Amino acid sequence: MAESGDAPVDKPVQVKLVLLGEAAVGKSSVVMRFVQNDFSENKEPTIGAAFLTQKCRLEDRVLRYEIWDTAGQERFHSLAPMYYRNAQAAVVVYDITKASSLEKAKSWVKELQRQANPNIVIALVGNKLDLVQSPAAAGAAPAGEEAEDEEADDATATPGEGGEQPLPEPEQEGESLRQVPKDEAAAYAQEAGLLFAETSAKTGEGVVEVFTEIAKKIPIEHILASTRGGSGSRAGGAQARPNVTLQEGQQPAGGKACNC
Amino acid sequence: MQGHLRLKEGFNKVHEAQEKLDEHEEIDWDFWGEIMADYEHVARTKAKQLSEAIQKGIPGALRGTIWELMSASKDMMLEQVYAELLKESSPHEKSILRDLGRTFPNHEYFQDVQGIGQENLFNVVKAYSLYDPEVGYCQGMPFVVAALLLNMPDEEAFCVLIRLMKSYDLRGHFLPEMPGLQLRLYQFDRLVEELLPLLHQHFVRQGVKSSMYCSQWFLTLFSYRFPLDMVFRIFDIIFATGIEAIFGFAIALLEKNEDVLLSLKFDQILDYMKTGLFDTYKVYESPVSPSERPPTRYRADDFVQDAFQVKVSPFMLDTYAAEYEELLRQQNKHLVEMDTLRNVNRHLSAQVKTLESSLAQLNTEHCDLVKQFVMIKLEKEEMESELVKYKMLYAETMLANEDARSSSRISFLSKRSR
Repeated sequence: MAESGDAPVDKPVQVKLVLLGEAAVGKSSVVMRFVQNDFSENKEPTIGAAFLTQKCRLEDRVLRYEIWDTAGQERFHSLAPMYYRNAQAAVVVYDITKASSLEKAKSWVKELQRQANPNIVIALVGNKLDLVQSPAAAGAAPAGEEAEDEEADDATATPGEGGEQPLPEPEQEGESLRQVPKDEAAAYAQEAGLLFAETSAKTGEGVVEVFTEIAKKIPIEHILASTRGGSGSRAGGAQARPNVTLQEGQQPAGGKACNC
Repeated sequence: MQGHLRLKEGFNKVHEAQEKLDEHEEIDWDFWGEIMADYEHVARTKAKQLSEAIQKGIPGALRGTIWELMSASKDMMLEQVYAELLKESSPHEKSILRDLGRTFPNHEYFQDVQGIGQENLFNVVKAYSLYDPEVGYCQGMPFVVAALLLNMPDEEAFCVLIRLMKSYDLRGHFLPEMPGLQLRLYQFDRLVEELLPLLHQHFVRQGVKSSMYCSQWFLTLFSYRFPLDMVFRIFDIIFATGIEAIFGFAIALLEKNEDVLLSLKFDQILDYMKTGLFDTYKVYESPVSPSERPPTRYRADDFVQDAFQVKVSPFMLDTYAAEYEELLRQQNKHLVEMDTLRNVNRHLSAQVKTLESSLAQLNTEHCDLVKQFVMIKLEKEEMESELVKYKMLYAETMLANEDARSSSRISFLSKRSR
């Protein structure tokens, strides 16, 4: 904030990041996972906004994320600009089991691209991945109504298996909760020039990677230059935004991962 | 009146039970009995004594009832309305349901998804969203309702909520755009500037704004994450003196922690606001046995005393409110100005466009005319050359004619001479 002056190279680079998205998609939980590596099932809704920090190591640089976690309810919308105005990065979260939350995410992206810092790095994050990945044990559970529905779709079921209905694969059963197909969200992200990932704040899957990918894309030199200059100068030329899609497993664990 | 009788009955029961239970607490049961019997009368004749008694804290068992008396919320008609609203369904139901388990998640009464706590919470909040569709549902509201429900049955909590919203002016906090909250935040900023100038300076330098930590205090009347016994004491005073009491408590918290806050930086300040503020009121008891740690207790009396020491006068608040109005007016004027300018601009642009299009039309017309003109000129030239041709022809014919005549005359003459 008020600190300025010539920072030595190993001093953390401050990166302001804002979290946006519909109510109850798990914004606070994603941050909690990133900052404290912790998860709690019933969290109080964020009223107003919450502020957290976390360091993130990227090759030879250390970034220090200053995170504004905002309230999701539409009524708090008028407070949001104050938090994203100077942000260098934004994580827009939706719930993959709730189609309407992606629409809300899209409208946030639009607002950011129109009103926020032109160089802002935006990541689209589909949270609650754990809800569509039922554990292996669920596959052995008695097939519920949902499973029957799946069955009806499965027209190619081999008749040779006798009267025994084949158990649906565990993935399928879980997938029925999913309302936002991964391809669809990824395609939108690509088109809009956003980073994209699916995460589970509950299991921790993909969360840290989101912040590492953002770190890679942040124009660090630009931030250093602007903080040295004392004012957040607005270099007009929009940074070229390569379309990067995060994929699980694409990244080596460790090494570049955040130290949290 | 009927409600009053019921209240009195309830009091008697509570009183008897309580007297047996705790003798060590010094509660002036006679006085509280008087209050229960005729609140209006006591409030009129023994205002000072009443206010002192409330500052010391309303006995837990009477708290809900006294809140109802102070806010004059008892209303059989309204309870009827509540019962009717329970049968309807609200467009906000999904949002309300989603937040049920997220309200006081650590309080036993509200933990069970199937439990009476969550059911009552849902009922009251849903009924209110139907009763006041302009406000509908706003996050933060369930915390206030939950604090009420821990002290009274749901239909009574509904009536008190409506009093809080209307008479205590909490409604503005929850309306779309939250105008009431914005005003309170402005007033609070000015109060900090006036009463805690050093801290104000520090906050400005660190970039800490009141909306960053104070919104949740004001929206939930401090019930968001603060110790409940403190929260109830705050509610006591709000019911007794009005919503403005929140300023006293908020300032007291900052003042009590001023030295610590002055030594902290931006992120530490915000963190401390969430977790550290009440530590100064904590009672450190030595554990009775090494295995059993006593529950954390707070010096709530001191907290209330400190809040009462804060000099927040209605005059100050009115002045700040007027400032804020003026600020809004200016902003509005600016907005209106911008709007008119934008309109004028749009109008002028339209004019430019029509002018441009008519110019284009004139240009094409001009072009056409020039073309016509050229064509005519060409035609004229053609005609002229034709004329010349004809003239020549005419001259030739004339000449030929002449020749013919002269030759015939010659032959005539020669014939005659022969």
